[in-house]
Amino acid sequence: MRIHYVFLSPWIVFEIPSRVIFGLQFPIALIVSGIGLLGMLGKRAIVAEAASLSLLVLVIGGRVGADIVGGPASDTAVLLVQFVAVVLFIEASKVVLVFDRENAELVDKPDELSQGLRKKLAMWAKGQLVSQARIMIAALGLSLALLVFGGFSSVSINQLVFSGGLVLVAVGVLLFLLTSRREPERRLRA
Amino acid sequence: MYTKKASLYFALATILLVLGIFLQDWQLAALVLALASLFFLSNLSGLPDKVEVQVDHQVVPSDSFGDEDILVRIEISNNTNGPLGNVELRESIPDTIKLHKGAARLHLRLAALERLEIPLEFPSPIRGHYEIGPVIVMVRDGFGLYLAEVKTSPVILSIMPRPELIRGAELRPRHLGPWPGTIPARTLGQGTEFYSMRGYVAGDDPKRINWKASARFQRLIINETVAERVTDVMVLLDTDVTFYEPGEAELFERGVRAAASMTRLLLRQGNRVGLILQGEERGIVPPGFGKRHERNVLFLLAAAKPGRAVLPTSYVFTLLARLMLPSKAQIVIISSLLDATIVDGIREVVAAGYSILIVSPSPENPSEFESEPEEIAYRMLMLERSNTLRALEKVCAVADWPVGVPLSVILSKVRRVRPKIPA
Repeated sequence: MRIHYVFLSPWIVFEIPSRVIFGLQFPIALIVSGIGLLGMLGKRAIVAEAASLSLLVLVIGGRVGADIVGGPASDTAVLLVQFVAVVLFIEASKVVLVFDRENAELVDKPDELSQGLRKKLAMWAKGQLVSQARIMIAALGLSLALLVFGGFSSVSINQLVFSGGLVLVAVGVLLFLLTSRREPERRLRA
Repeated sequence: MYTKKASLYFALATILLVLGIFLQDWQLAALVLALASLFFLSNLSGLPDKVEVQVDHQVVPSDSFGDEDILVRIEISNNTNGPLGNVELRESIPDTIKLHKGAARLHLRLAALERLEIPLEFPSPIRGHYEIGPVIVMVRDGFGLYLAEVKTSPVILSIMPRPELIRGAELRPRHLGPWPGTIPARTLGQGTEFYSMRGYVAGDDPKRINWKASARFQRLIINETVAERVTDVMVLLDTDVTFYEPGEAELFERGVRAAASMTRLLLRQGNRVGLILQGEERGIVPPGFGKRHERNVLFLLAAAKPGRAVLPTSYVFTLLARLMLPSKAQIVIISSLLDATIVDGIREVVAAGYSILIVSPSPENPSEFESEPEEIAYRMLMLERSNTLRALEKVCAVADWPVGVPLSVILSKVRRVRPKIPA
């Protein structure tokens, strides 16, 4: 879980057309992996988040760059899997870093109470990782199913008004999915 | 409710859609499907619609003299009919306190209808008031897109100065209350100090018969005693100890301990006692009786901090003494007497008939000075303090209290002074 950047970043970077990143795949993969490893092994949340964010930018930016320079279209399923994997690992690495931080506070306390809390913390981290993986796999499956379903029907109207309307409808659906039965955040300040 | 993270993911989805439409790249737009599925699944199965979590926390003991460990007991109950997989618990504890059992920030899971007790323990911090809490419990779904919060109110932990057991000083104020106490009055009554003898009359207590005198006079003679009563006392703690940084803290803490000890002694003798804190931070406890009142005084002393006074000490106590004490009552001033302007105020109060006792913790001489001018300044300050002491000794009882000497010893040497105030 701590070394996922080593596998994830080359996989994403080498999928981007060479022209988009001026043939710098290897150094970019190395830098992102290095920053990610530094964050995860050095237990620095902000560094790990920077690496995760750069992976997200690489996935989206790579695709946008390929559109602009006219590169070859990649496989949609691969792009979707990459995107889902990046989102999953962003969230999972946060869980691992929180676990590390709280565990470090308890590990030096030999009393029964602190050790009991450590066990609870370990159970939480395990439960979180399993729950995140389960939801993300389900989300990926659902997306692929919707993609296949969408492939049966083709949209041939290529007008700005239609495209704008489509965006609005999609944003409305997203908003509904996000906010249905929920209210905005009102944080209680300490 | 949905969180900022959910809003960020929503913004990302919108950007992807706009980019996809703008660049006519349906692969890019298809990425929105993953986020939409994530929102849908998280909303559906992540967090129950209604989260019922109850939190309570107690600090045991909530006030202490600083010689025992402090326990913070947090109780958290999940009253929801389902498990809560991502619960974050945050107990706000001041940075100066280091927990030696448990952790102030913790993530855990709660099963359906589970009740959990989480005790935290830490060694007692130094004197002062500490805000423990609030405890905030945040329940989120697996991805942190939705959140439910519960918060408790904070609890004040008060570490009070421990009063020392001291013997009484000779207080002789002219104002005395009607109840029996330990201060000799100028009248006959119940007491221990001999006043005179007289012939026995029916109804006198036989225990008071002076048998030797009765044998000599061939009739029953009884001893009469001086009545002992209570009085009203205002203890003033001068928290302005600004003089020489390395010694300030010790000097100040000695003053606080003296105030606590004097207050306990005077209250246990049955007197009405009040407290004035005079310095950068001021505070007043009006005169009162009893153990609860003693707690109030110690509570105020727990919050005392050294600092430069904004108003002159003499102005504050001349004003407050007249407002809060009956005339000719007792005032106890605990001050290092580093400010010579106090003398005029004390003269004025003594002239008004109040009886004053000054307990002055004297600064400890530093073992070495950083420079010669610093040493000269220190010696001049001490000389000035000696002059102040000499001036005050003429008008009221003054106890100069050096380091290492018990307060009882100093107080036992205090004698009543007949004020010599020049006209």
